[in-house]
Amino acid sequence: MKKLRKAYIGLIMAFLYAPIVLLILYSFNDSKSRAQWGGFTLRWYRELFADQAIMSALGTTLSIGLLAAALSTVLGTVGAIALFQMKRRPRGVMMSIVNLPMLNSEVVTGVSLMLLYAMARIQLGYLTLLLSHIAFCVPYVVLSVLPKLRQLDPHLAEAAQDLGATPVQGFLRVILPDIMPGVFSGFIMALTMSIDDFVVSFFTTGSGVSNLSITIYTMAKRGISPKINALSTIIFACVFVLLIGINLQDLRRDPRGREKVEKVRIPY
Amino acid sequence: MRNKALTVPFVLWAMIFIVVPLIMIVWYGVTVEETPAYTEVVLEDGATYFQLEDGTLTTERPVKRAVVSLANFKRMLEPTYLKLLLRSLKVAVITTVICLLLGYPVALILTGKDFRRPALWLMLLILPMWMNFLLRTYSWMSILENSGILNSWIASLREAFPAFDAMLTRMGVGKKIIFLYNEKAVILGMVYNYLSFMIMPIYTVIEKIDRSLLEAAADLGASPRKSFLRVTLPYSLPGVLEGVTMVFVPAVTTFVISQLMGGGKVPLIGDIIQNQFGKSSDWHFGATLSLLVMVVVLAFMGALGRMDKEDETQKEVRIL
Repeated sequence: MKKLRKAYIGLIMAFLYAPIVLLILYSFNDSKSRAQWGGFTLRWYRELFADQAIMSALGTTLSIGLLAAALSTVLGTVGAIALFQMKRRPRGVMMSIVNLPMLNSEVVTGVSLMLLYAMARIQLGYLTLLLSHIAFCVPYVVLSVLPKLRQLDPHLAEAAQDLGATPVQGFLRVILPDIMPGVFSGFIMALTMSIDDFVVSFFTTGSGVSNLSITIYTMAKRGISPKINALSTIIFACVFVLLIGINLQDLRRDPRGREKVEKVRIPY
Repeated sequence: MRNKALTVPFVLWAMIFIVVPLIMIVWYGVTVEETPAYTEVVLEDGATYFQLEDGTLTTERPVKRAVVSLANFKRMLEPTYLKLLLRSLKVAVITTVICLLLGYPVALILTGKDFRRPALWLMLLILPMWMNFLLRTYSWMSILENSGILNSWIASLREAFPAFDAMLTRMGVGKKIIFLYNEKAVILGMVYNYLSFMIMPIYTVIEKIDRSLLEAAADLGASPRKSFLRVTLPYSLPGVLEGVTMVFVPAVTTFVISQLMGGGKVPLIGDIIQNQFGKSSDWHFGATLSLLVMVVVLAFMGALGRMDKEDETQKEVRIL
């Protein structure tokens, strides 16, 4: 029975990793065709860094990701504090509104934002892409900060003010350090969601601005260049090393490793 | 510590980026673009006037404008679109069921005692999600296409084992098996992309079940099968419901997977919406279809939410 159970997990892992292993292999394949193996090469890695289109798409993905994550973390934290301070009824209404983008499918979010920009007569491009990414990231930040605020000792902020701290000082010195884990995981969530997004970006970008997802989508119809495989292999390797590192550290601290699961949870 | 300075900008932001866009969908959905009927009148002095149906004269040619109309709702109910919606629902339901059947045992096994480091294994299971999903789907295409890897493996197996070849020939299997560009391929693509969404929440819930409950069940003489049915299964239901939502909602609205794995031969409702904002460009009809999708998703969640609540009361009764 035990062997059977392990074999089952093995099968599922094989199913999940088969296409990824293939992608990585292709990135070293000295042939443009996907069907045959033409020998080992590092040519695609060299050509990758010379490819203007891919490099600029990578730049867009990273800059949008970092900007959207930073701005939505600030806005989401402000929002969580605002929600936390509200009276019960308006808070309920606002919570449902903030939850809406998470309930809606991406297509609806993308279309609705596109119509918003059309109404406001804003030309689709980098700005609209950034605004849209902030729009779908903020709710996740709010959701990750709010529980930390609830755990906060309400007397702490009062004590800080009694001792002569201004509200801003009180926030920076007392509240922020306590809610920092929530703020940080909100930032990471926002970053990964932004980098991985395709659907919302597809509807809200224009004027030649395209991120990696859109570039790959346009390529997929004519055939994806092995250069993209090389790029994904690099990204995958970085994430792999990073996550294994974080995870091993957690395991060392907590050998059972059960409580820490939430940390590696992927934010979809 | 009440502070309006924080509340006002946030509420304003939520209105502009969440509420107004949804109102725009509703507005576009219930309107159509129409050019009012008019006749051109050329007077003797050469000036051109445009006479509208109600008799008014203008000097400017009437242009397209949005008019409230339910025409798009009528169009949406045409058999073509209803069939697409039904197919989307069917594909999404099948995908959700397969994900549940495949994913639940994974969560159960990982939380059991076979794996000493379940968190590490779970991380390995969701790691593939960090590779762009378009790329992973594309990679499946190169496995499954006619001159792809799977077909070339089967071909070499056939050469190596004549008996296997004879068996396949007798079964009527051609030299090249067509895996791609049909509904099954689309479902495979969806299961592949969404399986982790099912495993995660179920794992989290089973992980939190108090082990002493299972010990108590065993002490009271329950077989492992019975304690699964009476303890683990009912307690894991909230996770199952979350997983079902996380798979069903993207599955019912995707347009990427159906385009890649279905090669445009298995259009879903998401493809039609995307088309309305691209090539065929009828934003109003696209908005009407988006409204439909929203209603379907909300109805689905409403139904699940009710199940969830009923389940909670049942649980309490059972514990008492």
